[in-house]
Amino acid sequence: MSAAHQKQWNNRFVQWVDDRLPVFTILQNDAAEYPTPKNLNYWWNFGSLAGIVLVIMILTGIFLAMYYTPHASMAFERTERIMRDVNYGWLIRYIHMNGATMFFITVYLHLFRGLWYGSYKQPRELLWIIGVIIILAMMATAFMGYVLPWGQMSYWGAKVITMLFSAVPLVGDSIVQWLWGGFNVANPTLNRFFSLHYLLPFVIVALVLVHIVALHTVKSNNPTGVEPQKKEDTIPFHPYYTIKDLWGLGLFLIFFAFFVFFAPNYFGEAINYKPADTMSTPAHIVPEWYFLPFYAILRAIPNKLGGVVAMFLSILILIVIPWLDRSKVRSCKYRPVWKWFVVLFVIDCFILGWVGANPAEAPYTTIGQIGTAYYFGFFIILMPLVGKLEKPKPLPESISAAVDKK
Amino acid sequence: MRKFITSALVAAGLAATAATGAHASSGGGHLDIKTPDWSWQGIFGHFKEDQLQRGFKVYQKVCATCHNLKHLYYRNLEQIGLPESRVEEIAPGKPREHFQAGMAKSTAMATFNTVPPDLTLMAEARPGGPDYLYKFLLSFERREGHTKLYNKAFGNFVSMPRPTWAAASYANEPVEGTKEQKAEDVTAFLRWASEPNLEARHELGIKVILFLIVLSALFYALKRRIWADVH
Repeated sequence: MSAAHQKQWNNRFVQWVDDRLPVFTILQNDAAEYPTPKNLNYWWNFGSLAGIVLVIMILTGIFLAMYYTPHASMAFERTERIMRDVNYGWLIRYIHMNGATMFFITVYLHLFRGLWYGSYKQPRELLWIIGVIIILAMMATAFMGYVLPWGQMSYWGAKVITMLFSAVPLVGDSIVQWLWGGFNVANPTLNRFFSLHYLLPFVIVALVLVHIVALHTVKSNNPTGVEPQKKEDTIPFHPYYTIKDLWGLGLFLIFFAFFVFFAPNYFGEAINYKPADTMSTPAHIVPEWYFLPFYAILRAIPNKLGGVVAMFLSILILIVIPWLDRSKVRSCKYRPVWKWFVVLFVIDCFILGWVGANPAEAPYTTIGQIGTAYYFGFFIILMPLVGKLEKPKPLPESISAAVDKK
Repeated sequence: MRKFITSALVAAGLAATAATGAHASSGGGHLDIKTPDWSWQGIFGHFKEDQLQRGFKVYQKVCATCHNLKHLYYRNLEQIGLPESRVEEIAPGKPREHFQAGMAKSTAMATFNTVPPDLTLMAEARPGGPDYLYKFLLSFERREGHTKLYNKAFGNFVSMPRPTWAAASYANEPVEGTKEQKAEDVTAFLRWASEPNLEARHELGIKVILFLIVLSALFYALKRRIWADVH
């Protein structure tokens, strides 16, 4: 993303602007000519899709905020007014509600892509780490957003999650009161969650820009994991990947629209259409689906503090995997042993999600503990060990050589 | 293309598991009550006006004594086909005002020792949705030694008495006034009340998805063409 090679433009106005602020040069270098490996498969679509969902979330969110009132006695009723009386309010809200699900689907697939093809490995460590920070920011944003309609699960979810901080030794209770802005989840909590829920998406936008700067410095990985060596290995981003991304976007929007229009509450909890009631606790307090595996990890550890630490570590551990992975080879395509452990890891995440959706009782607790053990063992033990012991398949000489062989 | 199908399948799998997770907690008793085929289900689903009107009558005569529909305005009733003049008769104040039915809090506390819940969102706010509501309405039974009735669908004793179905007369209706019919009609009405924009949602959805299919096809054709020279 450097303006080192200033372009020459035919249009004098464009030239005038570009001499002073190289927007056109940057666009030309980073959006049009940007050399991209020619062998990227459809797994590489999810990054741009996630970016588009972020824009959709911000736009719909801004419109919702025009009608929403962050007050404990009004939030539920105002949300219903958006659904009933605001023109197309139901549409905007259903897009926003399901957009959170779509955001996590695209980001989890994007993350899996990175894991499978070793995109976190040298020299892309910082690119990966910024991605992990984006996921953390997304989780905080999604959690606070879910509280805003002030339904039963909004309220009790907020209570359960904020109470986790009470596990911190000595200052735990003070931290919880500080988070709440009082002695319970109440109006001050709702106010600050709204404020932060509006702020964080813009922090995410900034992080995404940093993510892209890092990407364009180290360039995209590709299914072979072999760096481009000659000119034939890459193609310009535009038109090749702009159109491939658009075609993927079309299909993705059909998937998205299906839920918005025909199953808008599919991913939600029915009980959240009941207003928050501080006097009655729902039978099962469950987070949204995208938190379920982490919720299972939280509950797998019999010690409260231990559970909280494990839950946070389950995300934070991703930060150090560029150094845990000792393999010289990036792509699972050429890692005959490791790839099966990755497959098992994905299955493990689904199992943990299923455990998280169920009550903390037999047999779920035991399954959750085994799942948690594999989750951490995968990163801490298997990743360095398999990387050292495995004999990878021979790598292709270049991207072109790999493509021609097919 | 094969890679693409794999990615799509994984995405679908993720969505399906997410949904299983979301619905794993839905409970409800095991009952032999067969639920009706609701007219609003499916992508072409819509409400039946005559059923909503009957359902409203049941609500008025049977439910409204205790339960309000506070998110609804009287003017909304025009959407189920009631003429303006009729809505003006029904509304205690102006048609633009919110519903004001139900029981005063103090009376409710004195009579049932609880406040009857608002029904506007009842068809959405319980796992099982309208099916659960329908079963609930037909599952009251007396158990010896208890003043409260037991509700099989709820799985516990409830403060609510058995609905007084007879209060809503179906004498001039084309359907038989069985309690099953009345429960079905009032459930349909409450489903409408929970989301009066449901039909607009379905209609727009079909257009949007058709548009997106055409758009995607064009993108795909263009993609094939642009990529034709890449090896």
